[in-house]
Amino acid sequence: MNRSPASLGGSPAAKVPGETKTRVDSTSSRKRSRSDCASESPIKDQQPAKRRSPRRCNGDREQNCIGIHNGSIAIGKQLGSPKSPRKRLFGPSDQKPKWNPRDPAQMQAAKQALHLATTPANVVCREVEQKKVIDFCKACIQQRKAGSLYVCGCPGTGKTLSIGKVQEHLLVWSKEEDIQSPDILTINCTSLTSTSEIFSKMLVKFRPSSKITKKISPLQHLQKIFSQKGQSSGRMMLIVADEMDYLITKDSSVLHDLFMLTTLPFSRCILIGIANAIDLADRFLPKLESLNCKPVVITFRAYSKDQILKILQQRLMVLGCDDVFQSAALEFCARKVAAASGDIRRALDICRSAIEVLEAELRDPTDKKETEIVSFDHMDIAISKSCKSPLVNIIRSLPQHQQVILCSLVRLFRQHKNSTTLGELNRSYLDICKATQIRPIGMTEFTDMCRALADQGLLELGNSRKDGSKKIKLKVDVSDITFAFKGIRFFQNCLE
Amino acid sequence: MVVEKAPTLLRARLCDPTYVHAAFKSCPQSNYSKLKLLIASSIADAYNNSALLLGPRGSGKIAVVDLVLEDLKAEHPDTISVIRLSGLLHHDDNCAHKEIARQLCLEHQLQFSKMASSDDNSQFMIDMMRECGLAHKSIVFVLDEFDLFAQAYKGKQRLLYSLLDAMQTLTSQAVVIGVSCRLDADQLLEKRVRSRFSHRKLLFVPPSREDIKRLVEYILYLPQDSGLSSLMYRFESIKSLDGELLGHMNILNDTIFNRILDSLLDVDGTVSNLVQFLFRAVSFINLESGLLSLDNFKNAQICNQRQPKTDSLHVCMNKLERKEQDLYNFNSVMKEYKAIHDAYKTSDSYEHSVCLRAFEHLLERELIGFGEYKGRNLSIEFRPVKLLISPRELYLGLKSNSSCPAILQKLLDHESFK
Repeated sequence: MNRSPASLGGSPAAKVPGETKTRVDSTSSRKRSRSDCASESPIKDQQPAKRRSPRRCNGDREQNCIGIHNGSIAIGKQLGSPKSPRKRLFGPSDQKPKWNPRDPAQMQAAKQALHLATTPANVVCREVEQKKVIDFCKACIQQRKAGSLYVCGCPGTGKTLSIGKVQEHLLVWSKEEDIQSPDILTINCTSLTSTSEIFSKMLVKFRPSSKITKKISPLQHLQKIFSQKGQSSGRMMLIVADEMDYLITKDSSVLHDLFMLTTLPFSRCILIGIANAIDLADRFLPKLESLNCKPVVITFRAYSKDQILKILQQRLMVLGCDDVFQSAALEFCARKVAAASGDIRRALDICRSAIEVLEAELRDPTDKKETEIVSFDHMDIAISKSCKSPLVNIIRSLPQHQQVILCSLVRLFRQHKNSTTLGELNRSYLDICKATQIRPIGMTEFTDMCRALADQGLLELGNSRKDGSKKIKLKVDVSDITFAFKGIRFFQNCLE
Repeated sequence: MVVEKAPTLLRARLCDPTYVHAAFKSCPQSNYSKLKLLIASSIADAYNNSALLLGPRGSGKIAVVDLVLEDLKAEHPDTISVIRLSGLLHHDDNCAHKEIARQLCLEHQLQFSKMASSDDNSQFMIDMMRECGLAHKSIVFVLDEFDLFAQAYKGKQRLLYSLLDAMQTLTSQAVVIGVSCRLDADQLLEKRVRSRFSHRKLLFVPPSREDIKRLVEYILYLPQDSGLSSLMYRFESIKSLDGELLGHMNILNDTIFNRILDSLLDVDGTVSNLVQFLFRAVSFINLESGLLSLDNFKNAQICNQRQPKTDSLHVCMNKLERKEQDLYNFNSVMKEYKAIHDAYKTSDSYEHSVCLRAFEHLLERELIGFGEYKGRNLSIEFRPVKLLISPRELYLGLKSNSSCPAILQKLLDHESFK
């Protein structure tokens, strides 16, 4: 697992073994102030390991010289060459330093803080769901009973991350409570070459000594183990199947058998399935309901605007400086993303994009503005870059004849048709050319241009032996085309 | 001879796409600069990134990627390994994993085993990504025909998912660049793959007229001091009636040249189309003087539109007219054409579509015309046509064309003396 072992908020501060040797001395000072937000920033943890690169031409190592906790003592990390002019030493002050975008180290730290790959120590806004999962697992472990759980939600809602944290928590908890910790197997079902491979993987993990014979399949072997008392070693097994919808086959037998394993009398496995579809359990596992052992469903809903804002702020807090983003900008981003999909990955990407816009602006020598933070305008540019479809720009930059072809299509489709043939389109095109007095091009070049438009995804060209009777469908909205041509009188006349 | 080097040099330039696109290197708003910034910052700051390059075919997307990677490899030696996959060849996941493993082995001088299973290959890829991440080397994945990866096998985008998922961890350092000509390539991705793919898009639009002019100048420019000093490539000398040299005219500002360019770019504005046109023009270069003149460009344009089959069609039509058919259309001309070929067994019998195109060119040049206005709503093949030139002119034209097959001349003579 590549997530730093940090305990969830609420449990006592366990002494975390130092990640790297250089960190041990500074960890103790950091442990003093603990709150419910990120304690040890794993960003700083993992950065030392990465920043050993000699590539950095400015010679700086371990850059993150900003470390603050709750506005109290600021401790600068002195790891790295002391000769570097960019090192800052902070005296004890209550004021957070200002973020300086012109310092490449700080810029990089900001971008790193917002990167998808950096996992926060604490998963905010998912405490309720995590608690449910933890309670369920704890109950199963304590009662030594099997159970199944299904976690669902849109992409980017923190499912895999939360379940990862749950696993760590369970390990810590079982050590404290002196219970035998469960065996954990995490599988991402996209990596399985065949759906029934999941059973062989389970068998290998839990019963490494068993020989795989051809006589009985891994599934049957597992079923045998779970139906007989005393054969199991007494340890609970926790199985996490990520992207479970890859296991769906036509008769959904694999999925069914997997969940049925938890219903066998002496089964000891806790199964957690993660997928996107909310109704997976209902649609593909109807028989379980009759047996009264439907999996518990926990839905991770899409993030709301406030949640996104909170997550972004938590991430930025590890930087320890004031105001990297204008608060209006962050709110704007959160609002837009929450309205669109509620996907936190999008929000992080847009924020990083906004930082890059600021960077580009600073790099531009002709720009005289003294911008020190990411403002609302930068965020606006970043959002429009990611949300806007390139369609209108592309249509406006097409060569003239191709634009005329699009106009003739629009004209044909105004008469409430859905599809037309190449021959008809050609006639319409010739009419327009005649009306606007431009020279039309020949049939073969016309077909070539239609094919080029189809390659770009603007049209769809059917298959037919004769060129003239190929069916054509428009794949973009007529309104998009009319919008693209707004203001250009030539095409306004064509579209009349 | 020094003069002969000029066309060779120009042709070499035109055939090298990276040279052509290097024209826009210095401009900060160009796609080259943007892409370079993206990849360079990902490498320097050591985080993962992904981008999508979109644009019509021939706009130079792969050329720009190659150029950027070449430059970055020169600037940061030994820190980049490049893996190239194509959606046409590798859309099957097993095939793709094998290819990735093979290329990784090649780059890092490891032994590649053909017997490795798909599981092994994908595990190898993940391990290599981790290793390279720890060693601060970046892996750049270039996925050509990205939309085909998205439409792969049963709609399950395993390869894309596994690549992008591996990039979600800090231990790997990879940049995924997707190249596609479909504008909605990212709409074809599954929800979870799209969520992991960053929404950076670079659009390759056809360059504006000023950029085209700059590009032409950049390609065709042979500086005075390059050892080919006797060549003044783009000036057409204006001679007075006495043969005195009056001055030089810059072709690029000439209206006829601009009109030729316009007609070319109105059909297909991509850079590769322009380059093909320039190549043809360079082929007509005057080898004695080494000068490119306006006529070269005009010839190139005609070359674009030339149809050698028009002559045979002409003769067929003449024959029909002789038979005193007042009304004939393209289909009857085709029948006559086929009859001639069957009778005389000539080697160049062409297909219907080719003849149709030749027919249209004849219409354009106004050597034939539509007969009546009655058949206006019919397609070209059924409308009645007639010859607009006299047989005598046709005869002269055929005679002056040296590459005209003898059979046509014979037929014409035969007819005219009947």
